[in-house]
Amino acid sequence: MEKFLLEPTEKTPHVFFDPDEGIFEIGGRSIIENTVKFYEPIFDWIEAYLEKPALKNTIMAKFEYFNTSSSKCLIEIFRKFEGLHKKGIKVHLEWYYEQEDEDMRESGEDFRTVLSFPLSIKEMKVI
Amino acid sequence: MDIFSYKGNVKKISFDKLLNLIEKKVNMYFVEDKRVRMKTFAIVIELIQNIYHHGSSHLNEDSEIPISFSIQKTDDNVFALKASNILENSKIEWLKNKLDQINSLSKAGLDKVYLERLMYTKLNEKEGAGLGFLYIRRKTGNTIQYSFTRLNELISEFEVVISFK
Repeated sequence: MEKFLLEPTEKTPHVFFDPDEGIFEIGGRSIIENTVKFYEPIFDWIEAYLEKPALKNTIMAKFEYFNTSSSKCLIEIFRKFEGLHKKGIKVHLEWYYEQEDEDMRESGEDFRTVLSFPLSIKEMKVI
Repeated sequence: MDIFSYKGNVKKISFDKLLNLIEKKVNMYFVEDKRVRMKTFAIVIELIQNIYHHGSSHLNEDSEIPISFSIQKTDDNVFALKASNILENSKIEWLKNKLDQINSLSKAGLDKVYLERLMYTKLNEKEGAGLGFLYIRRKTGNTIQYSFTRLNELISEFEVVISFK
């Protein structure tokens, strides 16, 4: 399966998924109005990946800003991986926030509340 | 004191420019206070996108939308974000009920409703996630002030004021 890469823009996130390594990076900004249109190819790629996943999966989310409609798309992504976790495959989400950005840290706590797989919240200096 | 103020017509396709302009002002003003800077711009994003989704739902990309948006600071260091847009009268009751319900929630109630909606409501591409005002109320800890001014039998001006420290 090919790697999945999207370069960031002022309103859309950087996305890098490496199926061989089980590494899934997403971050930057996700503040577009029409989120579904943007995220659909990402959902499709993950669906295909889930048919033959790596044994260990690490999602790294490093956001500066995301709007509430993007949060719905992020939960959709995380739930797809939650399905793997329920099958006994290792899934771990690393949620990063910038120093002093308490709201982003709290968003990580929100996701930790609603997801059943391990999620660690980590501070980073600069995106 | 005005940190940012705009009143005029904006094409739907020009919302990005308005958002960029506001972000530059916010970054300049809050250069020393990252916490407030990031909170402010996150709220700005939600307010501007509310206008995009609800204040112009009957318009096409080239239509000009009358809006006003301001960020003010009071003497006691309270920041107020004001946004207003045109709204069809038929939507007033729905929006009023929604805001009153959000304003009536306790902190624990807000957390519960927000997380339930995050998990279970379906994203509506035309109307957003339905989480914007909940998010704002959670992040500011304050109720959302709002008013409707009837302009004619079809439309009203909807103004929302968000305050936080």
